[in-house]
Order: sequence, then C-alpha cells, then structure tokens
Amino acid sequence: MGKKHHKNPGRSSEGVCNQLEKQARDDMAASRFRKARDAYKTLCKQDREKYLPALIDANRRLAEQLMEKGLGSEAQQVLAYLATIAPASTIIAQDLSLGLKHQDWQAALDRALQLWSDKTAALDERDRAAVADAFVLAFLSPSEIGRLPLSEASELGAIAGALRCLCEEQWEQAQELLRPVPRGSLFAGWKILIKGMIAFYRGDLEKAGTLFSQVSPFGVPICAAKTLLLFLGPDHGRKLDEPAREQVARSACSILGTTNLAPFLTRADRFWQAGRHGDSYKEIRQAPEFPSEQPDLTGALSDFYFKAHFAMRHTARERYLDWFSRLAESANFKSDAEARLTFRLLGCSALDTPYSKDVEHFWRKFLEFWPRDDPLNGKVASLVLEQVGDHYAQREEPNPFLFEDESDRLRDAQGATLLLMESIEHDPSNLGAYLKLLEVYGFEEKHSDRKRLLDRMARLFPKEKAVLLQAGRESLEHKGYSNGIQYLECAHSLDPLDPEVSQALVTAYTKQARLHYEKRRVNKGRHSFELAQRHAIRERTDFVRGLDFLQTLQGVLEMTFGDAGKGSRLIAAAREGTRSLTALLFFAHGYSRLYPHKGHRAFWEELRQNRARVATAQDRKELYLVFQCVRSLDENLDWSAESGFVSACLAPLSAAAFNREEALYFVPLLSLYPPLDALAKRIVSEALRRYPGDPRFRLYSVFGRSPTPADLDIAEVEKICDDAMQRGDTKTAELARSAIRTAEQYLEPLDEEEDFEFPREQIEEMRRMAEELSDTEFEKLRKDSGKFMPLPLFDLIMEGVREKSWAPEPERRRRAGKQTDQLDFF
Amino acid sequence: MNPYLILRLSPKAGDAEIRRAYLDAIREFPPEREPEQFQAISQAYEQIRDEKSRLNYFLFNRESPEGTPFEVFLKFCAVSGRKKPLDFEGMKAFLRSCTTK
Repeated sequence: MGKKHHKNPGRSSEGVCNQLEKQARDDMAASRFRKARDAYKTLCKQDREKYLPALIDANRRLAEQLMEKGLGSEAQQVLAYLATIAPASTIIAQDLSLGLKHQDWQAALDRALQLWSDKTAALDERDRAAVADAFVLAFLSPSEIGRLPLSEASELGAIAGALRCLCEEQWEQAQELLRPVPRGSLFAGWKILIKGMIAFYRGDLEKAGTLFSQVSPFGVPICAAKTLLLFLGPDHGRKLDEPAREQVARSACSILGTTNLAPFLTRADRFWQAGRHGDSYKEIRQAPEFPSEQPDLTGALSDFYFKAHFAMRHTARERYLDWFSRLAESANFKSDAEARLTFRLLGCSALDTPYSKDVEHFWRKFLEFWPRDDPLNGKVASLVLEQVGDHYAQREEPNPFLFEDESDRLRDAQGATLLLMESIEHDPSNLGAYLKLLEVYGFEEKHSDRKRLLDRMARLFPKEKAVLLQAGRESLEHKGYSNGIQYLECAHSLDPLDPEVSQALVTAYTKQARLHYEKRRVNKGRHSFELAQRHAIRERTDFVRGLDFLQTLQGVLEMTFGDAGKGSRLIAAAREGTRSLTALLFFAHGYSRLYPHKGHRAFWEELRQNRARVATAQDRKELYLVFQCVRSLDENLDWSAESGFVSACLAPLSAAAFNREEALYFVPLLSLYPPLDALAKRIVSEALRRYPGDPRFRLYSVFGRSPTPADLDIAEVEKICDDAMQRGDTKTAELARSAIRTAEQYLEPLDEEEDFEFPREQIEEMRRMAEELSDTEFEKLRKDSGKFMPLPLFDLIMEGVREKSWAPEPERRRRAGKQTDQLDFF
Repeated sequence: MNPYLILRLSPKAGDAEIRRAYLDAIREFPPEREPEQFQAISQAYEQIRDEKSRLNYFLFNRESPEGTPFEVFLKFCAVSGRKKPLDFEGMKAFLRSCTTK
C-alpha cells in the first residue's frame, strides 16, 4: 500500500515535459516565438532528437519576426545560433525566406535553385511553398526559364504563361496552359490560385471562392487568394487576424493602386478601435495622398474621417471635433483639400448647433480654400451662403412649457437676409436662395420687399412650379384673386398631380366666389365654384377640397346672397355625400356665423341635437379640426358657445372613452387654447389614474403645475426623463431635457459678477438702454445680441424690462390650421 | 458609400456620363436579382444626377460610413475591385506584395 503513495520521478518528469511541450505549441500558434524557442531549448535537453526540429522552427520564426520588427542585429544573433543547430539546407531555406521578405528576387531564386537541387534536404510544406514562390516571382522570360537547371521548368513556364494570359483576359489559353501542371506539382498552389483568379475575373464568384479556399496555407498563393477574397465581400476580411490583415491590406492596396496608404491604414485602424479617433486621423494623414476628394480608396477613407463625427456619441464627437478645431486654429494644413474638408466638417457640425457663433466663419473659411479658378466657384459660394442663411432663418427653439412646436422668432432674420442676398448675387439662378429669402421676408412681414422679390422671381423663373405657387399665394394674400389664379393654373399645368397646388387653387376660387357672392355677383360666384369643384375630392374628409364642404359653403352663400332654394339643394347634396355629418354641420354653422341669416340657426340646432354622434376617436378629431378651421375664419367673433360644444364632445376622453394615443394627441392641442385648457388637465388626470407611471403624462402634469419655467420641479422632471429613457420613450425624454434646459437658463442667477460671462454692469447697461428704446429699436438690439448670446438668455436678462411673455397668447399659440385638411386617424 | 464609387465614376463626370453609368449599373444589377445593389445604385444616382445635387452632396452630405477605417477599406474593396484583371506589371507588383516585408 505504501508504494502507491511513493513518488515516481520518471513519471513526474514526463508530465512536466508534456506540459512544457503543450505550452510551447500554444506559444508558436500565438506567434510568441521567443517563449516557444526557450521552451523547446529546455525540452531538447530532455530529448534532443524529438524536439530539435521544433527548436529550429521556433528560431526561424523568431528571426523572421525580429526582422519584421526591424530588429536586425537581434535577428542576426538568432540566425547565428540557428546555424549551430540546423542542417545546411535549413539555413538555405531561411535565407530563401528572408530573400522573399526583402523582395530580393535574384537572391531568392538562387537559394531556391540551391535548395531544390539538394536532394538530401528534407523540405517541409512551408519551404516547398517558398521555393515555388521564388521561381514564380522572379518573373523570368520563357527562354530564361528554359535555361534553368530545373526538371519542373515546363511547369514553371506554364504558370508564368498562364499569368500573362490572365492579364490579357485570355481565359481559355490560360486554362489550357495550366492543364498539364499535375496536382502534386511544386506549383500546384499557384495553379489553383490562377484558376481561382480566372473564375474571379470572369465573374464566377462562387467558383472563385471555392478555389481560393483550396489554396495551401503557405506562401504567396494563399495571401493572394485572401486578398482577392476581400473583393468578394467585406465578411472575408473580418475573419482575419492582425498579421493577416496587415498583409492583405498591403496586397489589396497594391491592386487598388494606393500602395502608400497601406502602412498607415492598419495602425490608424488600431487607434480608431481604441477610441483614439484624433490619433487615428493623425496617423492616416501621414499617407502621402491623404486626404483626397477623389473616388479612390484614399477618397473613401477621407470621406470616412471627415464624416465620422456625425455617427459618434456626444463625448467622442466633442473630442474629435476639438481635434479639428485645433487644426483649424493652427492653420497647419497639409493641403488645401485638408483645409477645405476640415472647415466643411466644422461648418456642418456648426449647422447642427442652433446658436453656433462660428457657422458663418467656418463656411467662409471653406470658401477661401475653394480653388479660385474653378468654374463652379459662384455656384458653390451661393449654395454655402444659402445654407448658412437658412440656418439663421430657422425659428428659435420652441418653448416646451407652452406646448409650442414652433417659435415666433427667427434665429437671426437680418443675418439670414444678408446671406441669402449674397447667395443670389453669387448665383442669380439659385432658386433655393430666392425661396428662402422670400420666406424670411414673409416671416418678418416685409411685404414690399417680398413682393419685389416675387416679381423678380416670376420673371426669372416663369416655369418653376414653386415660384408660381408662391406668387399665386402672395396674390391671394393681397386679394388679387385673378392674378393668383393665373399663377396657380400655370403651376397646375406644370404638375397636375401636386396636391398643394390643387389646394391653393381651390382656396383661390373659393375666396373669389365668396367675394362675388358678397358683392351680389351671384353668377360669377357660381362660376368660380364650378372651377373650384374641378379640383375637389370625395374620398376623404377635407375642409378645403372636399366636394361636400365646397357644396356646403356655396349653399350657405346661396341662402344668404342668392337663391335660397338652390342653397338648400346644395346642402342636401352635401349631406348626402358627406363622410362626416357633424363636421359638415359645424362647418356650415361656422360660415353662417360670418353671414347671419335666419335660416342658419338651423345648423347649430341640428349640430347640438347630434352631439351624441360624436362618439369615436375619428369623430372627435374631425370635430376639433373643423372647430379650428371655422374659428380661424374670424378671430374676433365670440366662439365660446362652440368651445363649450367641443369641450362637451371631447369630455368622454377624460373618462370612459380614454385612449392613450388620442389623449397624447389632444393634450398639447387643448393646452394651447385657454377655454379648453381645463379639459386638457382632466385628460392628464385620467391618464395618470390609468397609467400612474407614464412618463409623458407625468411630464404634462408637471408642465400644468408650472406657470413659468422658474416653477419647474427640475428633480422630478429629471426622474421622468430617466424613466422615459429606461422605457425607450426617447421623445418624452427629449421633451423633458428641453424643459430642464429652459428652466436652468431661466434660473441662472442674475446677481453674480459674471452672469452669462457678461459683467453685471454691462447687463445693467443693456437693461437701462432697453427701457429707452422703441419697439423696433429693441427688436434690432435683440437680433444683434443674438450674435454673441443665445436669444433665450437675452430674453431672461430683459425680463421685466421688455417682456417675451410666458403668458399664453392664443394668437401666437395657434397652430395656424395646419391639420385642417389632412386627417390621420389613430 | 460614395455615389461616385458605386457608379464607378470620376468626380469630374457630367450629367450624361453619370446617366450612362447609372443605366449600365442597373443593367448589371437588376432589382429582381440584386435588390440591395439596385437600391444603392438608384440612391447614388439621385445624389449626383445633376450639378446642383452633386454640389449639395459634396458640401452638405452627412451620411457617415459605419465602422472603422479597416471596415471602410473592406467595403471599398468589395464594391470597387472586380472589374478586370491588372495589367502584367500590376499583377507582378500585386503578387510580389504578397511576400511579407
């Protein structure tokens, strides 16, 4: 029994050897050749005969690795040691391998001949592949091949000939030449590669892929095959390990004619993967032709580096942009192309920032680096200035507390006007710039400027639908119905299917008809309605183009100004064809309020009797939209009875008929209109009773309790924001963040020395000055201030001096009847 | 991906050349056989079909190529390389580049 516990030294030593051998094999596989070499050295002491070949192999690989790293003297030491343990043929094989790596084709050829003629040399597969590579890569002429003391000369000649035929797209001849090369030939790997290349270039990609996968794992054919596989799809490259990636990158760059790029590409990629994006750019910009705007690999990589920030997360993006900002500040550009691309990158990024101070600067710098002799110079400048002008012409950020979806001020209307005018100067045919300038003039209520511009546009672009549409609308605005209709009919003839033009035409004819009726020109009014009805639609509820609504309007006008019987008949026809009786009655009632008539009361009465018919989400939405439509006909009328009716119809939404989607739609709308604000609050209460954790309704509830941003419970909104993010409700999270931003701006203390980075004296001076300014002067001051501070901050500084009121203003809050003609149901 | 690359065009190509390249490309990649390629080709054509689109693309396009520089390289290889074989000198350089330095 005691013997069982006695240690067996022999067995233990064997175990250690096995473990060491396994470790050495792993090290070899992981390219840790020095460690493997040391392990085999130890193993050789145990069993020299068994482990000597592995020790020689480890030393060879180590010497090659050291060479690749540029450690020549260390490699020489290893080679010197190798010479003491390896047979002469191994040393020749090693020299052959180094000759190939150093691209010394003559030396490689000499060693290959020497090695191949040594019949005593035991060559492994790797060495055989190196011999074949040396023969092929010498690219000898047929006569030189004929003179070689080589029994396989004819096979080498076949390979060389097939390669030439391949390059000349002589597929059949190439295959014919390859046929006699036997499967066990020294050049078998080359034969498979060339066959694969023939399939590849002939477009038989499946066959090419199969043949490439059959190439033996050593030598040039496998590397060439791996490289060509990249051209079959990116997946082939994703599977490669690091050394293989470097190798195929170099070879593929050779195919693509961008050899200079290869050494920088893999290093730049490593930096990129480590999140060091700026360093990655620094690395790649060392490549001689980088950056480029050409459609080659350098151009594709330039495109990547100069657009990558659009897809980056916030912090990484900021760091990356910072790197380019520093480059721009230093002006240390490698080329004009780099300067252009850098300022384009910074300019695009500034366009995404609402109050960027630098957007114009970056783009003007961009233009400075645009080639002066380029015939497109004017067009480029025009487009750039149009884009920056458009950036200034955007509305200020809306205020979430007022459920605003649009602000009533532009970021910098004056800046936009100047830039858009400059844009037009650079390219008088740039229609986009005209249209934007037109919009700015319209927004700023510069009617005479707008009209002048529109006249010029109509002369310059008589066949542009957008211009004709604008001109038509402008004429309608000034009650020039005939002119407007002419413009719109022209636009319609250019694009008969454009619903926007058709809608504008119906509006024009309807307004013209109303005018005729009001002036007792009944026949002309009827004619206008006939023309309007050519563009009418029947298949959906539409308060402008719907045939039923047009008939109703004409009916009301006939009953008031023309033939009451005809009016009744028209209304009867409308009732018959309508998809929504309650909406139609409300519409008729709305117009009848404009034209008081004893018969009109009937619409209201019937509507009240039919209240119960407003039962579905679709009914409620239609009713609300028609209410918005009729209310906009005359804001000065008292619409309280109609508001009460709408409130009563929507009331079920705050109780039994509650529907989350419908509630989400109505709460912001109703909150905008004071008479229905209470209903919005009731809907929110009901929503929270049903879904206590719902982030959106919790947020609406907080808004409802916060008369001004200063009253906002920021901690609660932050919690709502977190909850929304956890639920993937990004829209609510963004709304919450926007509210927090506004509240924080509002709450920033005004009594510190450096409020908003402005000295207190300067702020006080601004406030004093503002008190003495007229409204126009104050507005100009506000716009000018927008160039050096965010406008919401300006408003906060001026609070109490000049109001940008937080109080609800029904006129400003109104959603301009946007949804009156397009209904999308829940 | 760069539309010039997809349509295999020089950035100096004009309207007619672009149209021709587009028609050639959709013949090579018809929608019923290669729907993804067809979509990419159509999108590329829309981006550069006339002078204004081309300038707008160059100045303001924000489509960020995904991945890393090596991924961009791989995708570039996949869309650009298999046209015709290299000439003999190019083939020589390519095969010789396959021996590691």
